[in-house]
Amino acid sequence: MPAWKNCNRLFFCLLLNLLLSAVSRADFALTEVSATLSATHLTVSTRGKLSLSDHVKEAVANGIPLDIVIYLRLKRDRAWLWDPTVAEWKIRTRLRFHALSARYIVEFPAQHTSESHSSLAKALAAIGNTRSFNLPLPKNLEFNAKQYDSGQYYVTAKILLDIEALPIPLRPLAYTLPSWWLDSDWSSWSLHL
Amino acid sequence: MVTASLSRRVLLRASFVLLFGGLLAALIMLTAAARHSEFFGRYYSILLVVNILGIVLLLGLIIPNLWRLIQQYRDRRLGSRLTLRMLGTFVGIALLPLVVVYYFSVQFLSEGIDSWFNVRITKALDDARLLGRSTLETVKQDSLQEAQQIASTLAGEHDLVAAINDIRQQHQYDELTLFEYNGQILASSSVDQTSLLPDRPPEALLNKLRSGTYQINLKPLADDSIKLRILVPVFGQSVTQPLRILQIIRSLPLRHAKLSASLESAVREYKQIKFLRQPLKFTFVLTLSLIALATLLMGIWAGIFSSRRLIKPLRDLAMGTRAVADGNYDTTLPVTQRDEFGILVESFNDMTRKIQIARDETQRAQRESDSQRTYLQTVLSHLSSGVMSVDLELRLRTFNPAAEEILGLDLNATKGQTLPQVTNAFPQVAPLWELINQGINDGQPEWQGEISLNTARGRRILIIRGSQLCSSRATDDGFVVVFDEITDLVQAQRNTAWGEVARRLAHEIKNPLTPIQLSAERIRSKYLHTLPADNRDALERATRIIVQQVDAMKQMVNAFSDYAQPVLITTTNVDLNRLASDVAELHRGKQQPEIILKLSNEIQPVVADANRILQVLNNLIINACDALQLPKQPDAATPSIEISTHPQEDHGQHYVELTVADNGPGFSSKLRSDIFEPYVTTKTKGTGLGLAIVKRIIEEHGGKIWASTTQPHGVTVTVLLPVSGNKAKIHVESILSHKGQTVS
Ligand SMILES: Nc1ncnc2c1ncn2[C@@H]1O[C@H](COP(=O)(O)OP(=O)(O)OP(=O)(O)O)[C@@H](O)[C@H]1O
Ligand SMILES: [Mg+2]
Repeated sequence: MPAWKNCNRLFFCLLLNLLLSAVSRADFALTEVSATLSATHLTVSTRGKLSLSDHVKEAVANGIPLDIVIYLRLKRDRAWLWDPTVAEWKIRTRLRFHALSARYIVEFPAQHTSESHSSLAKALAAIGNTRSFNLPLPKNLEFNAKQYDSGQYYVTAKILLDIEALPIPLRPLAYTLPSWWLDSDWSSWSLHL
Repeated sequence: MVTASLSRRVLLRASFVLLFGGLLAALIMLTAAARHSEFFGRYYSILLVVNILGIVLLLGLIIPNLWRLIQQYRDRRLGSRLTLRMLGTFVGIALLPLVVVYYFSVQFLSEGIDSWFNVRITKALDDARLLGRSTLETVKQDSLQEAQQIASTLAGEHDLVAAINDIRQQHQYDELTLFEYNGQILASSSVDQTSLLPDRPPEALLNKLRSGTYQINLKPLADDSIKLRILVPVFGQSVTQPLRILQIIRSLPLRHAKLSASLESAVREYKQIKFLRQPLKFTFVLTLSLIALATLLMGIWAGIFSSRRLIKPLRDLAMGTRAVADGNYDTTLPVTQRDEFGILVESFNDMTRKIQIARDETQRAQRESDSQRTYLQTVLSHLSSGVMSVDLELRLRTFNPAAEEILGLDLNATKGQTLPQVTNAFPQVAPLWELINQGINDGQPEWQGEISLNTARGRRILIIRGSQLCSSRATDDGFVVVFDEITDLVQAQRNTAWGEVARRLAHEIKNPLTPIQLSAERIRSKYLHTLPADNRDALERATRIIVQQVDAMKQMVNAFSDYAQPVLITTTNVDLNRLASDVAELHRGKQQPEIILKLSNEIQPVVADANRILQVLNNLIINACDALQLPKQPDAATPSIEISTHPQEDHGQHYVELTVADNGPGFSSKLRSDIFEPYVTTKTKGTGLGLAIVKRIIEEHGGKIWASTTQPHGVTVTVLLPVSGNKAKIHVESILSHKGQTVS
């Protein structure tokens, strides 16, 4: 098959996908984020719903590792302009398929741990429902109970597929095909003590 | 200014190099990134964006420039067509190899990538994976049997902790844990001393075990190694009732572990690459396209600039040439290049400089000839001689004011007409034309002649000299005619001649007259008484006639010598009005015709001899009366004489004009030019000296006199006398003689 035909098809798909992007969107969502603030750490556990588009599923089945990142921001409420971000964390989880055992491995690089799941759905659920993470607070940050009580601090979170972590050849495609645009909106959550 | 343009150029070049260099670097990095370079790979997306931005920037630079070029081409601006054509050539040269290389590269790339994926290799890898799985299956079975054995040994054991530890060390398991049937941990031993809790099996697994199946679970790890999780029941005394659950976590046997890891990574990579085949092609094609596009755009950009630079001196030259063609010879072009263009520009500058010098030269010559011409014209206009030039076709080309003055014509209207045409318009110059015609026909280079013209102010005698004009230019060939009025000269000559005649007459005739008279009287007194009576009468009559006739002759001779003698005048300020009314009074009454006076109050007194002026007036009135007594015209009105005065100005001099007009029969045109000549008379008893004397008197006063016929019939004699306010008589005379305006 001549190369240009391939290219043509690709570009055509791209265009079609762009058009359809508004209609079919496999999405990520965070349904619950519970964040507990201690003196030095923010302990977070999240519950989310992750579903992959067919294209992404195919990629995973073909051994492409997916990096799914939860962005967490600790923000301070302010009366004017935007609320400043006090601290920011990224929780990275990697999902990949183990061909020999036909199992899905979920890695937590930060904790140097991993677990395996027999199905993709289970693996995704495992990523969505992360166990508690202890996230260190910046050193210079000092809380006082008063500020906290007045509800000045809150947490915003977002979960998404990190396209930059994909193999290079996939990146231009992933940036252009909406089926790869997997992310949730930013959601705000209150803090517990 | 020079430094400003220089620095601008340097800046432009620097930005050029920077842009091109930057884009090139970005392209190189992009290519490196596409080849899975670890470092650039991280920035692949950024590089992609940078490159696209670079291309957009280039487009942003090129499109306005191209647009401007096209606009200039539409406006037919100088050099735009050549620039565009040159640019086309540049782009064509750049585009063709680029397209060829691009096409073959893409072809080669896609085929190359496709060729990686061999069907047999794919099959072999799939087979290897299946083989791996079955091998794993046997390992699992072996491990299960081992586990069952261990479980049976553990059944009767009391020191569970020690036993488990022993067994784990003996079999080199990772972890060995004994659970109560409900899942509570009884004893555990692990390689990893740090972990406090053993790895708990998922509840689902425990449930499955409780339902009766043995569980062997593969547990792949992040580093591609595989652990086995084996769950077996531990029976007590009763075989049917399991008491506890044993969990073994172990690695694969060393040989299997290595092989499986390498197989796993190989399979994964192959599958990955296979999956990435299309994206890979896309990425490569994208990178290649970007490179091709960037190269093309850089080519166009460079093409625009270099063609502009190449064309600029040409355009300057063309513009300079156009300016020179429009007559702007000051155009000089800056020499910016040291190549053939520079030489061209230098020669252009040289050319314009020379043209400028030549132009200045011709302008100077033109000015010189102009000034000479005006000088000549001034000389001509101040000449008292009339000058006229005609071309070979006898067309009037030039004439000076004196010519008009002398001929008494306004020649401006006839300029460019042929002499016969001029003669048609002014019949009075016919003699002049005849003379010129004759002179030309004779074919002599020079000729001369004398003619007499009747002008509005009387007869003029002209001496004409003509000569052929031969010049370097055929168009300037023709004839030049110079004429002078010699009326005064002729008059003077005549006057002298008449004076001589008068002197002779007085001497030769008057002298013998007295003896004749005396002799006749003596004959009479001596022989009157001696003769018989019949003869006495005859003698008496004869001698009386002799005496009478001699008397008459004496009178005639006296009158003549009066005329010939210079007129002596003693001038005073004379009021012409008073003089005129006195004379009119004198002639009034009896059978005299009616005399009408029309005297102006505005006239100034004239400097004149009152008696002489009286003589003039008398003569004129007598002449008029004589004319009015002639046989009347059929339509004649009552005979009347009109005397009028009014101020007159001529050439800045103030005069008093005095006219004596009658409504008599007038005179023939032949007589008109001669009536002021002596001895011209139509009367039987007239001397013909009346008007001649009048004329002399008037001329002695510095005045002018001429006669003209009035309609329907009658004669008007006009006298101009200078007023006393005029500076000097001499001055008046000099002007009059200069202007050649004397009246015959
Ligand atoms: N008013 C006039 N009307 C008609 N013819 C005139 C008039 N005045 C002069 N002439 C003509 O001019 C001629 C010359 O005149 P001019 O006065 O010189 O001589 P004269 O009158 O003939 O003689 P004299 O003046 O000696 O008596 C006249 O003979 C007459 O024919
Ligand atoms: Mg007279």
